[in-house]
Amino acid sequence: MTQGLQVPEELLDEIDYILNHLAEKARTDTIMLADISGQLISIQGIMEEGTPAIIAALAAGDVAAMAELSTRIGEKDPHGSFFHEGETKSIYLHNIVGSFILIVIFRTKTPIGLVRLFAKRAVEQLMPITKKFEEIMGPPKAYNPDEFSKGITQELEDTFPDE
Amino acid sequence: MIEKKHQAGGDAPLSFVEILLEMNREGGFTRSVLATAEGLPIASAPVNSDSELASAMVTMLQQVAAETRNQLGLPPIDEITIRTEKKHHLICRPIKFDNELMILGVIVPPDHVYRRVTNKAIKRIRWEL
Amino acid sequence: MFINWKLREINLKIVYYGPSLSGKTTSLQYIHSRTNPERRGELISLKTREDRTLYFDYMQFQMGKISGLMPRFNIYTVPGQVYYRGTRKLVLKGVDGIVFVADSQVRRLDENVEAIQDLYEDLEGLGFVASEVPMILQCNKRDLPEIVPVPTIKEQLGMNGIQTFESIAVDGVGVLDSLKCIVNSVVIKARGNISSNP
Repeated sequence: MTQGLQVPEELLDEIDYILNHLAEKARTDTIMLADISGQLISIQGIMEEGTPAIIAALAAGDVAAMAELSTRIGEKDPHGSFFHEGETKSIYLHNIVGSFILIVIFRTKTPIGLVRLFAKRAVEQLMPITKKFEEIMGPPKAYNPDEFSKGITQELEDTFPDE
Repeated sequence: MIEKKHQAGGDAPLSFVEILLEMNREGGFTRSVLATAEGLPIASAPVNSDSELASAMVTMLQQVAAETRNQLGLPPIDEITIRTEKKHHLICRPIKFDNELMILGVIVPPDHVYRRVTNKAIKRIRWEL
Repeated sequence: MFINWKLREINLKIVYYGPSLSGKTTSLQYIHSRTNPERRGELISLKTREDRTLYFDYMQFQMGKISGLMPRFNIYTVPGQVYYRGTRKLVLKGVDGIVFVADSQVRRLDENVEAIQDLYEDLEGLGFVASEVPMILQCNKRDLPEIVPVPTIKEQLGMNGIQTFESIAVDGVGVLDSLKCIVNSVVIKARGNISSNP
């Protein structure tokens, strides 16, 4: 089983294109793609408030909790979508085949049907690409693993400086 | 009471709202709405109308019609019409595109024609997808 | 592990696991307070009204570029209470390293054993081979009376071969040592994974 991902740039370009298209068509503020463990893969659009990494981590928790909730009420395939309606900003989350999450942040006055219509289409386009994610393990480029693990010791010192 | 939050107004892409506005103008229609198969608003015209309620209603009509068609073994539905005593018409027209189903709902005042104008709008909506 | 070549980032996930009230959140709070502010994100805690962890606590820190790649570490804790098992499992998805925080008190020994069994079951359920996941044992609350000797805890938890640290999380003692150790183990494992890919 693949427990890690190395994403080739071509795939990321394709993802960026799809997310951009969705942002343009549905007039949304921010679109993100994260993997189901909460790691951010791509972000498009503007983000006035909030940290993308945190949004992705929380969305993953939300999607997993919703999947669990669906299972508990007897759903066989809990990979749907749901949205939170806020006062000014709303969030639409779509669980893509249990492996990825599409996160759409939009102003509440944007019609939800519009977001849903184009988000669904984006998910259809993303499906084959996200499938490739787990098949293609891109080779490292200009990357020296030994140097990497040596460097980590110094970086740990800088990250956790002595008081 | 329905909260008027998701009004298909300011933030919808101009294209959908524009298509509906132009259709209303051309046909002399009082109101129109474009909704998803789940009854969620995609766009509406005029901009400040209650698109949530209208979307839910036209979708409900579409679902009843689809079930009726199914039970009676009729060919695919092209239009659902409700005519009031005062000769207003509510027209619902399903729009199929790939796997997607949308519904265009239009309120037509008495003595107005609508087929040609709604056909034209449907073509333009498909073009935008 | 998640390497984004376009952004030149390597994302790694470390999870603090253990029975309820063993000191997972306290450890994370200490780590956050000691992380270089320029390199850390916010500490997010999803708590119940009783101030217990509901979903998870989460923080991210990043390091400077190493060999052209910027490592980002995503640190999670899981809720200890038994009834939050579903949440624990979702936090473990895609995990790269685990710090098992054991409560050293004599009366909590059974709960530690139960938690480690749950952990192995959760990992298996997610398709991991538990023995292949980098793991550290952090024996917490070493300042309290009536504590179990570390060798006994290791024996009871079946963690004899696992690197172990004693800690007093409320004072920060031993917390960074175990974090640094798991970071190193995770990086070594990641190196192995990357090297073995074509």
